[in-house]
Amino acid sequence: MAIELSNILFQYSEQPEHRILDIPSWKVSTGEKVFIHGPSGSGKSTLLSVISGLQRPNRGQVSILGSRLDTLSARKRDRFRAQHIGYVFQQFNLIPYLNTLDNILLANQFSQAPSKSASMDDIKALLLTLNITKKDWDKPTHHLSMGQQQRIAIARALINKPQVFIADEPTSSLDSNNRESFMELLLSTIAEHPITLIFVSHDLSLASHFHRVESLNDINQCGESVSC
Amino acid sequence: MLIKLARKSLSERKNSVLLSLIAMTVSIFVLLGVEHIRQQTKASFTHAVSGVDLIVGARTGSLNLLLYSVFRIGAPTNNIRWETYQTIANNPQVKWTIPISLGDSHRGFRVLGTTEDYFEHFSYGQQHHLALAQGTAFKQPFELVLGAEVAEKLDYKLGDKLTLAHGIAATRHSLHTDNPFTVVGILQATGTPIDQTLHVSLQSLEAIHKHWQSGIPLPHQARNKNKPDTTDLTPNNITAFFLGLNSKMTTFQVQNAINNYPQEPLMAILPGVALSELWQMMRILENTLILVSILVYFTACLGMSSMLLSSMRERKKEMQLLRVIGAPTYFLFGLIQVEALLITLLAVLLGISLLATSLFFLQDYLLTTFSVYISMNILTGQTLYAVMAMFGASFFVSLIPSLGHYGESNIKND
Repeated sequence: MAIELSNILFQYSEQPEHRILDIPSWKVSTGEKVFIHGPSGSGKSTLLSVISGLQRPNRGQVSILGSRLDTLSARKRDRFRAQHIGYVFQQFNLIPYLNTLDNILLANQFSQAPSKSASMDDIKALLLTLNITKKDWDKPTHHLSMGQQQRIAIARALINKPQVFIADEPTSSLDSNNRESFMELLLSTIAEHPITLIFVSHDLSLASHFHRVESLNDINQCGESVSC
Repeated sequence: MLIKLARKSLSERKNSVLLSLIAMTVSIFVLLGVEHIRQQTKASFTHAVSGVDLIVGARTGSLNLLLYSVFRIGAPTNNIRWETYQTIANNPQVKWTIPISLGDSHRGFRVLGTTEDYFEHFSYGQQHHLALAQGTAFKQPFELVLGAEVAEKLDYKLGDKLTLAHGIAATRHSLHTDNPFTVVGILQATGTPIDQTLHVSLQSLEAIHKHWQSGIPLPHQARNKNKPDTTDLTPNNITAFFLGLNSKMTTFQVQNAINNYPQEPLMAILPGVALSELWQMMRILENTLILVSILVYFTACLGMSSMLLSSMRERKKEMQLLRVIGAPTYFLFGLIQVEALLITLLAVLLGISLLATSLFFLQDYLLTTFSVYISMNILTGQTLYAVMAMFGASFFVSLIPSLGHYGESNIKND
């Protein structure tokens, strides 16, 4: 199993009456590509930050690739995230004042594992597969188009050879042309590796790319439509 | 990578960074400048006299005696009779004495009447003796040895003739025009009040005042303009004298004897003790200056801190991204700290170069106007401590923004 959640309860201590997440059980097996849709306010970001170890649930077990994130220290969760999880947001995936190569090197640095250390050749090859031309490598990324930035974000997320890839509305800030090419590139690049993909979007037209489609309201008992 | 990130992030926010950089630079300039000038003034005062065991003058405040005898500041209250001086000078415990007589001036510079012993025994700084840059010491009456600065400012050369004025202010009536002096020697620069002094023999002073009384020339006395009266030029009075002892062990004994001299109210002071009295008086002023400059620096630090704090708000997404790609919280903490320390480092370098440049241009002005010699060498051990304290302060003040991010690093925007 790549992801195994059981008995998850998440609430902010300042609002104990308002539960954000209540997940009795949810599993994703290794290599599976899952599409999750749901309205905003359904606990989407919290779920993703629990899976990536940014936050710890108040209760329950979070097992990612066999590691119990709920029992690891903050420091170990940070390193685990750097080494095993790739993450792409809707926007602001890159440090805007660093250039393309530095952004990727920065991400690579946090993995702190010699086996994960990427050579310049690896980075360049990865950028070329993602259609980022050489002339854009040394530019600060805020000079690049949104489509280019999102593609560099894939490279940034893949550089540490993660086993789990989380995409959080990655196409929302792209126009339809860019969206299609982004999806193709993402799926084809990921297909070359045994990566488990969690793709979150409210755009159901993208669901056709996936064999497992789930509504967040079915996973989380505390979504907007369900009162807890 | 951390430093690269900090550097690029700072250059990304040039305007606000530049403003706090300027504030920091100015405050460092002020802080180091005050500290440097304070130390140099102190050193300059301390260097003005060395090797003198006792300074003897008419009974007055010890500071007053020190100030007028060594620094030519203020005025002597009374004179010492020549006989009294002779008696003390002939004491077997006394190794040497230098009599001095003050009261005349030349174009704003003080005239010091003394003997050849002055050139032999008086020393300044680390036991440096006076040395002549040109010419010789005075031997005849109406010969004159200039301090380095007097010669330079007034552009006098060996052989030039000049007249002295009675008192400090040069009015027409009080000029000793009938007895011009000849420059026979020019001293090397010392960085002490000696540079601003004209030296003549006691006999010369006696000669030009021979027919004067209470500061006015006597009109009815027969005066031969071409031939000054040189018959008996033993002075009646001197202002003060410096004294060196055969053995330092007897200092207090001799001091006590002079203070209790029955024939005349005298006072003997140890230059070091009097100087430390001076420092005590100056301490409040010094401390105030330092306190103000520390506050200025602290304000600049707070300015930088608030600049960083407000940048944290703009950079919330950036911090969140760093967390997601695996940056531990201490990395973000370090990032803010490195940014603050980079600004501080740059400000320290700029402040020091600004100070060095200003000193380079102001050195002459300070020397002539305040007779304080300020060395160009700013990088002393004290400065090092000050700079370290500055880094410490900027570190602690930057804890406000860098610890502030901990509360914000959680992702709560569901």
